[in-house]
Amino acid sequence: MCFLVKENKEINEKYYYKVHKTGLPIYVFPKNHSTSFAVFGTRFGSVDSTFKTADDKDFVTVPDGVAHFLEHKLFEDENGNDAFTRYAQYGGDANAFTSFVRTAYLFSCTNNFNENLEVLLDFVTHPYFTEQTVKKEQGIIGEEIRMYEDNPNWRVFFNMLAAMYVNHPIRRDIAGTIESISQITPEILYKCYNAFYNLHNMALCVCGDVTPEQVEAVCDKVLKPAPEVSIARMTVDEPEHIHQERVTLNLEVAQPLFCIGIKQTPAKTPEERLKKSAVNNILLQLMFGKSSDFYNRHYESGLINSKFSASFEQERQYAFVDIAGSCENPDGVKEAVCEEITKRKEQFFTREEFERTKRAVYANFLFNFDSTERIATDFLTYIFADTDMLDFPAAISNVTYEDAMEELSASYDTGKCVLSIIFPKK
Amino acid sequence: MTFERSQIKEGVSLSAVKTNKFKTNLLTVNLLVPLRKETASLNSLLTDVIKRGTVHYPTMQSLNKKQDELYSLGLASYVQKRGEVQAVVFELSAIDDNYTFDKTNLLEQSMQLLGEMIFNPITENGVFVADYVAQEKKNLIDSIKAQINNKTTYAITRCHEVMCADEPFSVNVAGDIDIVEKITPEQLYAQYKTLLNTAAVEVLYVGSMEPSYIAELISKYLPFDARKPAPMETVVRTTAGEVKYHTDKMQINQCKLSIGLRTGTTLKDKDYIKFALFNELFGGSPSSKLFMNVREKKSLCYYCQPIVEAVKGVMVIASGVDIKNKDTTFEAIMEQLKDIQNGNISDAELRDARKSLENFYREITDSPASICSWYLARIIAGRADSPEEAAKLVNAVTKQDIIDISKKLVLDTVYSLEA
Repeated sequence: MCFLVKENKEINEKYYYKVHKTGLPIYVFPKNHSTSFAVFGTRFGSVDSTFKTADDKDFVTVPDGVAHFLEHKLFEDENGNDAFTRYAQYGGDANAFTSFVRTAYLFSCTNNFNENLEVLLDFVTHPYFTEQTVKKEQGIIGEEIRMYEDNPNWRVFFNMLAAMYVNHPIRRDIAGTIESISQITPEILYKCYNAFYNLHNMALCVCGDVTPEQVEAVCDKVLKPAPEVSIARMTVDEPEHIHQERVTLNLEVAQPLFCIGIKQTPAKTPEERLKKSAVNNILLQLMFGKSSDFYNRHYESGLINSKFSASFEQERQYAFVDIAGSCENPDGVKEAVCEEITKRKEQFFTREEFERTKRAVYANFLFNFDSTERIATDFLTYIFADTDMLDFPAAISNVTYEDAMEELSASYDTGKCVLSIIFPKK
Repeated sequence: MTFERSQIKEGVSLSAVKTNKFKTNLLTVNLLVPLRKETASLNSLLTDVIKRGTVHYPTMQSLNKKQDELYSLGLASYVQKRGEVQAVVFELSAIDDNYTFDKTNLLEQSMQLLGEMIFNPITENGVFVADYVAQEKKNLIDSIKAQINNKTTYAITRCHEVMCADEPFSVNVAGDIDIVEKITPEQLYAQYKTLLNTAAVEVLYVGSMEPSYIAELISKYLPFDARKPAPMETVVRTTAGEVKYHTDKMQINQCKLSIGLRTGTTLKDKDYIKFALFNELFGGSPSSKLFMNVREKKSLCYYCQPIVEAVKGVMVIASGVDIKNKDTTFEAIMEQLKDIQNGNISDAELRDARKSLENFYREITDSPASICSWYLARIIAGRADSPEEAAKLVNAVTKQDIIDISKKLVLDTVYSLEA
């Protein structure tokens, strides 16, 4: 089977796609940059802590932080070699990250692309965990967790999630806790690895000065066919309502920090997801963007400052708005935000304001295409949501004035609005 | 990718990188002045007040709406510190004309707006609007205070301050709270005029347009007069007296250890590349000595990284550690430096560091922001070599070069932020 091509002529971007014979979906985005970028990811993140494979009788629950711990540990092989060292001989600049719903391993390079890709595919498909190496990692990750404990921006965001969600594991920290990671054993890591690191459950995205055939040849060399697996993830029974309206914490900060969360119902299909993302981006820009009445009025009154921002986050299992900033009176900001939402439901924006904002959101999206890293990592996010990054410009263009009005009345429920605050220590 | 440097007028220069790689245009106007305590706060406040409006777009909202219309045009203004130079930066980022719906002359319209922001800010009674100044003073003070929020960067800044206490480099580029509090609209406007008329002007551009076209737009929309800027010297110290120990207390979980050193080499030096390779091998990448030993082998920290200020010639090795491991970590870090000074460098380590540095240089050419940052630092250091040229020099650096250059490093300050 040859590669299929998907092209967006309007923005002059295209990619090649095929499912490799081993079961791994491959995406290649040619780009005339010096830097080539590859991301190899799996649909396994911090929220996937309760699951069942064909071999399991029942659902198993693993300690919080396993996906992230596994990401760290994969870098080490049975000879005690670090994947970083293997990359280093080819000049590859490697990294990895774990989010709520995925783990990704990546590298960038300006030379020896094939050799670097070989390292990536090889180390991710060859796990090696022992008691001793697990113990060593507990020290490093322990310091990573402590570092985040002192990070007020991180804490204010996670406290917001814990206030919004009643049961969903998104309310727990991606890295887990010092306590939870102390329960991790090599057996648990192998269990998770065998369940989720199956090529059918993964994807490879490459962006740079490379050909699809070149990428396929490296896959041919390194990868072995994987049997199809089925993984059942425990569906979380998450109610529509929020857990707690207001949550506070005291840390070493100068001025209170806040995150206002608005819980939404996630979209059901990939098409709806793409549309929901486009319409919410436009809506947030209209209501709270730098040219909005809200932003300017409250900036002038001193309620907010230039740190104020609003963004939309969604995955298959969740969707929410995050409005963040730093100011003396976070409760006042939340009140103003809810007032604005209520007011706009009755008195929506003009068509002219809507069109101008749509154009700005569209243009903003184009900035993403200047970076091979951005393309490859964002592309993986779209793929894992069963959507396509190249369809997003059209999704923005297709949002109608009425769509925006409808989404505002359907998804911005001020009764599902939470406030997380970090106050200075006394 | 081509690089061209030209003089628009005396004291006003353009450095343009022409490339078809990007869908965007990036242009920065850098007003360069010596970093001094008396003026740093004024310059910093100026970059905030100037965003409040222009003669034609007298409110922040009307200005922002115009930017939306111009395909989400990015207009930013901020201050930066490079050695003992303060850069007052006005930045424009726009999508390339080819990606507009009607193939309009977006860059020209954007330059017009940028020019308007810099040369025609909204005023009242011949000075900046008093209300705006008062508000931005408060915002700036809040934001200076908020520097404690990010413990990692705060511990690096504090280490610089302790280390260079009697040097201009210790001046907080964002401003000093006591000074900001006293600024008047008159004083700010006077500084604005002085800055506009006397600072060295360096314009940097990355995008698909011809440099001659950019020069034309500058002459049309950025009417800087010719000037003779004062020389900008960064005083470099290559020795340290008795090691300074300083601890700040904060109620935090993780201790931030910052080790300050004088590097003895700066970007002005022809053989800076030797230092760059030393740094890469020491702590610049995941295959470096610090990462492999202090983190991976000894499991002491999650991060342990040298942050280099190349114009000033100072390095801070920043790490986050369990307080009980503070001394052990300090010893482990210094041991790695001693290792290099003693010539303990394997062929593999040298090879990996070379590859990594070469890769780092080549990647710079793929990001408009990195390209601008690269050339700004080089211009300030009085050189104009490209990232590609630097990449080509890497392999010529020998093990002995690294050993020699590493011996110039001297420990100056040990700073820690802890509970």
